[in-house]
Amino acid sequence: MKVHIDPVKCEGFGTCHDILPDVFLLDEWGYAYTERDGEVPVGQEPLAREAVHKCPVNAISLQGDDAAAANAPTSAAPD
Amino acid sequence: MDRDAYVAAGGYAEGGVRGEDLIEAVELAGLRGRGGAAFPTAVKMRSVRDRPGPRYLVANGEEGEPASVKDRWLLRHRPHLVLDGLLRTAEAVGVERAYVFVSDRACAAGVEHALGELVAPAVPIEVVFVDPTYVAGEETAVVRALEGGPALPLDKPPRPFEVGVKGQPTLIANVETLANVPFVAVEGPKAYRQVGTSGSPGTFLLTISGDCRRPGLYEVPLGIVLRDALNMVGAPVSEACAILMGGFFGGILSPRVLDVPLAYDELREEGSGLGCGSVIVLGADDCPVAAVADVMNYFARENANQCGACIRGTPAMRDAVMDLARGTDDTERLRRWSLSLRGRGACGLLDGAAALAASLLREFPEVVQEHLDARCARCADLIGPDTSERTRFRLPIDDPEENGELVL
Repeated sequence: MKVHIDPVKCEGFGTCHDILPDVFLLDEWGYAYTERDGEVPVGQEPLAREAVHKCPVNAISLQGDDAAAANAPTSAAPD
Repeated sequence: MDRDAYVAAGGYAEGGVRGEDLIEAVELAGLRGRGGAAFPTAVKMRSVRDRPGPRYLVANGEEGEPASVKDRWLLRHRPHLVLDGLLRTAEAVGVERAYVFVSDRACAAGVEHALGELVAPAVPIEVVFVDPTYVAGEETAVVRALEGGPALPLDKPPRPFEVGVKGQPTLIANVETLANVPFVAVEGPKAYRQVGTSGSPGTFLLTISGDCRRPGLYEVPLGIVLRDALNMVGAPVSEACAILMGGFFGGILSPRVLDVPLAYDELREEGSGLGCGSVIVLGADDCPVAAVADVMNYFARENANQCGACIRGTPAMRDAVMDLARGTDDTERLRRWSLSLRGRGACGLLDGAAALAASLLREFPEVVQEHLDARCARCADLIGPDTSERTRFRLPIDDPEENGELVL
């Protein structure tokens, strides 16, 4: 699983970093970015989904096979 | 050149390959996008044609680069060459409608006039005018503007070939790219490849400016050695202190690149790129640090004000370069930003700014050290106190109301 941050939408709330700091890094101005192409370590997928849903400006999306289901506002996708 | 003159010169030829054969010819010709990204044109054509319609085509003539004039020259002076390429491409890709996207009144008028000379074009063609900005020609900004929104970039994916105008597959092609299509269609890829190099076939429009006696727009073979291009325009080659390559997107290069061919792969190996085909020669009285400060200031003001890393990062890099110009060492932060800010924006502006910073540090370590050792007198002269001024590298194009000619 990969995550993608829309740089236009990100306003630097830092919610994603609070939830999954290994994946969502914050730059010195507080804006979120990822390394390793947004790859989510195995086992941390639920936290990545939580970050997607809790971003106040909807700036994060999941990439990959399960992206369409997981990005839905009321996702019923199994973890 | 009006329609009759263009036809007399061989334009709108009945012959020439069409449909998939044209796409294949473009592929064999090795034509790449001339807007700056150098993406293989045939791949882009296929990716739109292979998706369900309706499809759209945009001839992109929004020339945001301050030191480039080629797109405006083509639309002002060779509109039928662009339209010929547009019509052939539109047919091969199977589009419903085509747009000519411009931010220059004379271009809009020139294309409208040319369209009036066409008898029943195969697809409807519409001229769309936007106010000129640095980012307005970026492909997602183009789509937004065509939809009635602001000409500002969006996050990708999706790209316009997937989701473009009206949510449909849209081919966005630079006008110089389209201007190459009639020759490929009629004369064939073999003839096209008779100039240029095997990796960079054909010719390109070189806008050359700065310290040279005959600045201007030249059609030259791809692969021309930079030194030869500079000699052609009467630049004092041995005195050049730096080259700004590819508009503001290829970074600043030291004179060690003088023997590098202006070709795609060769420039990429130098950490640079041909971009929009613009070259600015900085002479003996100039200074690489002052030039980068100027361009970085332009990025800091002309960015779309959308992505946090760019809103914050471009002024931060500008200030770090300004510090260097004043003899203050902020180079470690500049080095860090030049790496960490890559890929952080929705469009390529921040990447261009980061690459510019990286190129200054990579190409000019001695110059950087000299600035730290003693204050640079040239920087003091070249960098004014007011950083809100426009870039000094912008090329003047005269008032189109007067005579429509470029003055360089």
